[in-house]
Amino acid sequence: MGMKRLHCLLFLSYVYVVIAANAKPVVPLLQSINWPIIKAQLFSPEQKIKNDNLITLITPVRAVNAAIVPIEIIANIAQSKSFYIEKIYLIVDNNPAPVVGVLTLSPINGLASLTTRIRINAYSPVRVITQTSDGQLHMSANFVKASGGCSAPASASNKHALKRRGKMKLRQQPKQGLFQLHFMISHPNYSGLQINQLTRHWIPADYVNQVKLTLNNKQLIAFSGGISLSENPSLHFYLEKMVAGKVLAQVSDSQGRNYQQQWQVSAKGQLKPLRQ
Amino acid sequence: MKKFLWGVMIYWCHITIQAQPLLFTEVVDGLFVFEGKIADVFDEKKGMVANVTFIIGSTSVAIIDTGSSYRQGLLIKQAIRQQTNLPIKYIINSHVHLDHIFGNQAFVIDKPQFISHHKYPAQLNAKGSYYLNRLNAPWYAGTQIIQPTRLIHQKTIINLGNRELVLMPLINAHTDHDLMVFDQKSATLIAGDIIFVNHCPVLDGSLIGWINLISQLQKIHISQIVPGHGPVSTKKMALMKIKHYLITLRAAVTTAIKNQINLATASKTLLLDHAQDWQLFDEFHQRNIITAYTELEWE
Repeated sequence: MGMKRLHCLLFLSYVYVVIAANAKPVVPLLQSINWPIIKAQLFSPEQKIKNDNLITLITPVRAVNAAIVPIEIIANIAQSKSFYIEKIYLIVDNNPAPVVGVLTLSPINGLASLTTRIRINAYSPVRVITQTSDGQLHMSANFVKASGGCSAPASASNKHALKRRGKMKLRQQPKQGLFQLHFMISHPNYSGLQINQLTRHWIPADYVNQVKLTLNNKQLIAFSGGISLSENPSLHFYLEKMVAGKVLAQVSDSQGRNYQQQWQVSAKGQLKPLRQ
Repeated sequence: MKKFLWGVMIYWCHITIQAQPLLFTEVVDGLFVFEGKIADVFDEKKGMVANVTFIIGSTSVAIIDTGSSYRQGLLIKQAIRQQTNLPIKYIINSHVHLDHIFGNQAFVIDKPQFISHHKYPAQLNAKGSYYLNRLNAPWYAGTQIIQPTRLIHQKTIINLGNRELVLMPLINAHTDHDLMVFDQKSATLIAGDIIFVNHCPVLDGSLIGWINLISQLQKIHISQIVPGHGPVSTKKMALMKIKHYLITLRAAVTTAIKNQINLATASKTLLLDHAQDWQLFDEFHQRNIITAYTELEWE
């Protein structure tokens, strides 16, 4: 190759690198290739999704631990009988199974704010779509930098999660004139993308896919979802009032196991677990 | 012209590969330490962030941790060969984190025992290829996973010739498979990442187990400690600061859980005043809170 041609080639590649480095990304961060497909599967084409501030989604910009990314959903309206948030879809576009889950709420909650923890497998928009009682859809989305959350090896305390599988905790605390409940269930929540440390085979998916909590047979909250909740799923949510009676939690996992736990609620709203 | 260009290229590659020899300091007679740079391994071109120790007996040499790359392993060997020609018989890995193990490959031709905690292979299988994928800078080219050949289940003594090393496998502290080494001759503890000096501690095992272990170490006679990161320190100095951090972390996280402060808020707000005590605080402290929180909420 002649020197002139070499120089020319080097110069061109330099120009290309400079242009590439300065070019604006073609796709805005909150769009993704997967989003139109996910949207088409969940909603009908006539349904419009509004980008408004009915809810605020709080996520880290960069997750410090992709297998445990804290997610906060803050509702900017109260749950009134005439108008309330009835469904919350939590979606990670670039996860192998993008729908983390769907939560069902009602006026009983007082406020539809929630927190939970999820796995994020690749840099992705994380979006929350809420469906209000008038059938309208609203969206809030953030871009989160995290990778490997679905395939990350289970934590050092994973053996406890296995031993305790199905054990539940429920606590309550007055907050903002309402009651905040914290529900936890111990479960390894295997995503199906993790490797068994000894055999080096894939660990089959084994995750909590249904959660339902009732107070005196009235539904407080329900969750149904896929592989993306973190190990030992955890959910903070609100209740307008604690009334004396019994809370029942019913949980099932993808392997068909069912778990139940009951708590006695005192007149003062104190929770006490009941023996099965 | 063509030949000249090739010559320049080969020379250039040569000087990039032939880096400076590593600087080892003889801390006590026959015990040498390379002090890694306090930095995140992924922010460093050559990832030489963890401490490396070698100990010379009258018949053989042992190495504790080998850095993060095949090339660093070669540099360690070069440094050892400036001190002694005795055979390298033992390569001990304190735990499986990538900044401590990937120089092992450089010693395969010396046929040493590759020694680790009995739970190390499981972690190596789970994390090894994930680590190699992340170490993708040119410096790491050719680095491979080396399996251990001897697993330690209980306190074990190896002899380097008039110099006994006690291998101490731990239950659950910095990780769930930490292995410490105690040089009886000089009462020096090579602690691996059980001890961090200046570098923010990193929790990847059990906070409760780690605190208990440090309390036990306070009762044993140790003249100095080689930490996994940071300078060699006296026992008192090394233990005091890390214990303070871990204990206040446990207290703050326990209180947050009790008050239903959620994980997101806890990870952003707890113990920020400790930032001045540690380097790399922003990189690791939040992660520690998350790990501690998920451990303690089920206690």
